[in-house]
Amino acid sequence: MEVQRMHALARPGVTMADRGGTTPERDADFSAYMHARQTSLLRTAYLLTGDRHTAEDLVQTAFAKLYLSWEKVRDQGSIDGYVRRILVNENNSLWRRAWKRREQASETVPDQHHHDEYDDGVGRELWDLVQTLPKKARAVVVLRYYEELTEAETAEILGISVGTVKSQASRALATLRDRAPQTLDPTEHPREEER
Amino acid sequence: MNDHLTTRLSRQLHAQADDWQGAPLTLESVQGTARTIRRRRRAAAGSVLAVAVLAVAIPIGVTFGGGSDTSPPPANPPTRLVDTDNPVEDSPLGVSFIEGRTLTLPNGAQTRLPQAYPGGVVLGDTALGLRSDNGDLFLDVIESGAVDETIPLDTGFARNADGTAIAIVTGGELVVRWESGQTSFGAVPSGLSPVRLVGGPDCSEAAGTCAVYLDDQTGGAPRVITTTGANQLVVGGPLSIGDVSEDGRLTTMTTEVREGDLGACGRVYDQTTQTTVFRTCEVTLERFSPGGQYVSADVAYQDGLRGYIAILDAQSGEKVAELLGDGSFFNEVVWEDAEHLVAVSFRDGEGWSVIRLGVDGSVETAYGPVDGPQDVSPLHLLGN
Repeated sequence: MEVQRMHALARPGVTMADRGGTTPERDADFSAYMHARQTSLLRTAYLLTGDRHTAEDLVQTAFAKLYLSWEKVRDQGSIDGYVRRILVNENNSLWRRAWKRREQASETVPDQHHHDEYDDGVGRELWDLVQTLPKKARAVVVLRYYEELTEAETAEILGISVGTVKSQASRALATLRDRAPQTLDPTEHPREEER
Repeated sequence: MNDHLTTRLSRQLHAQADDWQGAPLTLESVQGTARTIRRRRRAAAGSVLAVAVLAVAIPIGVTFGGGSDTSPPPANPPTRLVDTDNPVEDSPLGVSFIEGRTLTLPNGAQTRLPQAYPGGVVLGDTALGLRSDNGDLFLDVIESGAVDETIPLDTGFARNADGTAIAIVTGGELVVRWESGQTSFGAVPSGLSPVRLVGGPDCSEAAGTCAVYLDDQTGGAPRVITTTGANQLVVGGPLSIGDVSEDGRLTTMTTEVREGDLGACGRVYDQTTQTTVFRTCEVTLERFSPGGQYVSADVAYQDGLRGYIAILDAQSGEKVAELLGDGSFFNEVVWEDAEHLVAVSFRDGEGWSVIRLGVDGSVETAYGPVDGPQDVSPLHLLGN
């Protein structure tokens, strides 16, 4: 079955609503958490999206949703897991992806390339390939190999079973290996032009 | 091999991200986004309500064509058609729709409404305009282009499958109305909102049994109330119900909301055999197609404006058609016939239109585009 798409992109218009009720203590509590965690979440969001503007927007939305549910989530003692879950779900949101594509069209600032001092170009190629993975597989890769979460923790955040995490990770690694075998072991798989 | 790969992968992910600080967020900016999200959620809930709530039947004094032969002739001259001097052309849509103050029926007949209703219903030869006043809902009965009667609604209303009768809750009483009469099912607790009427049009006790399925907006379990006064919980333990098939056998229902409101699971449930036909956490199940072969669906994680429509086989749960908004969003999604959904859609730079999605995956613009601000749709579908 082919998924159909509406071709044009739009930013649905939303305006500010009335202010929600807040208390200074609540806001101070929330701010402390946000300032402590935002850099880490921004980096994760960047790896999930591959785009800095989108990552910043994603994290802002995640914190906004956390803000709306702050008391409940805080009382449950599951803030980190909750906000990561929002991050992944938001990134998978069909509506949001479309919306963001439009915003990027007019605001794109090329991301800087990051170079590992030990990189021989292979790392960059690997990153390019990570960005071609399906959203959910990429989320597994980022949570497992960047956040270094356990399979169980990853499963909980993604709302899937541990078995699915294992199979998604395995499939993602196989895809990376298959698509660019030369990046993983250049000596065994010389490039075409090097032969 | 994988150890080497995962080590390299981990190192590259850190190299890629770890020296980035990003723009610092402020509490004020996060609060602003939170307000926007809250508003979108309200808008989404409102649009669902508008679709679910459209209805009540009253003659509008114009023969729309194809109506019942037994309908009494209008006492007043017919409401003037918008374009009476020209032959009526076929409507572009198989459902009635409102554009501004003009109501267009599937046969192309049009009538001028007293105001630009954001919703309404046409039942046989009768129509009603839905409006909101300070948060209270009303159905205006329109006759000869003017409001003849106004019915306050406690919650919402629902039609039967062929659109010949509706169920409403008014003054704390559950009432079914059809062209030639109405009957009360008695008082109901506050917060119950009709989702679907099964049976009719004549739902009087002498004529036979009708059943009204209602969601409890106060958080209680959905109920079904029948002509005979039976009032019981809907079988299958749903948190809410989306629809009931024409024969009253199948129900779409939400059975679980995931922690943090990050999604929901539901199923198609057979009320007669008390078995699950299929279950899904991938989408939110909505309305059955006429005939009940398919069911429409939205994403499981509903976040503000709608950007997705799916059609599933009602027996297998297999997705047969899928449409991504890709930046467009959808306001009202209704079945046009047994194999097509129509939806009001907004696209930046183009305006509002009605798109049609077929069970074969075909997509086309059925009507429009029409100018209008993006936060107020000029188009409203009066479908089932």
